[in-house]
Amino acid sequence: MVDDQEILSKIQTCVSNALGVEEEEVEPDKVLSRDLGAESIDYLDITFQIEKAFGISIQKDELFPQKIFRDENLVRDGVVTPEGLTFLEQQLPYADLTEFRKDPQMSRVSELFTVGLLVNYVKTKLAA
Amino acid sequence: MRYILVDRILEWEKGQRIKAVKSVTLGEPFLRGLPEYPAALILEAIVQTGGILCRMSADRERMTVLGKISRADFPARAFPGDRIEIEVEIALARPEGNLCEGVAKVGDRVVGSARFLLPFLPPEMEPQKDAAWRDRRAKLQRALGLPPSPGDGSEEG
Repeated sequence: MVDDQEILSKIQTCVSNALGVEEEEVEPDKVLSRDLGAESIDYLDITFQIEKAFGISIQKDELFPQKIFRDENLVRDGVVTPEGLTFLEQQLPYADLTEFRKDPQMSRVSELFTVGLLVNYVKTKLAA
Repeated sequence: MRYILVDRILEWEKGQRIKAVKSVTLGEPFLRGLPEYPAALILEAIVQTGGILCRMSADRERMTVLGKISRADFPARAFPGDRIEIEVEIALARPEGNLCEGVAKVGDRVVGSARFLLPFLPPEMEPQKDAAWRDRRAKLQRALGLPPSPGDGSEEG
């Protein structure tokens, strides 16, 4: 059984490798894009790193669902629709949407993707 | 000016690895005024070699773009007269693209190595694969010593 600290430690290495930041900077509340400088291609790199580090298989769009950025039913006029919120809940059951729900701007979707979300994702995946 | 910086594919295994060669000559258009082959072009040759492997390894013909270079080193230099051998492996593969690692050597001397991501272009962003496009592809494959793509046999002549 892998404990939370071990998962965090491995995630820190994965994110550090992908983004070229120091492992100490990779704290659970850090947003991958805003705080650690991740760009779109880096999400693919992080996915590669996590698959390798934990020996798990991550389906396309499973960890970083792209559909939210493309489907007009999920986002309208820059705001995530009720259908979009349901989609995010289903797609990211390990994400905390409490704050996001108060102001579901599309521009804030990337803020959901924190180091802590990656840890929770891996925990969920390993427990399955 | 030819922008394919690989002369020949020597061997390849689908989804695994590829080996190519690039001979640096004094006639290189890129070399005018330069004493050595630029490191940026060694990197480009490594990436192009990886792109060829990824395209040939996909279940259907896909186009790749260079998404990211995670690491690149150029411990030694290459000069006219050198024969650069490039080996690239697909380190990790996903439906969105591949993570590749490549090394370029002149004999035992490493002149470049890189780790890079080659995502596949979404189908809607691919160029129109018309007769002219297939003709260019067939010529390039012949020049590189690659087999024709399925369905292109009759066009190969």
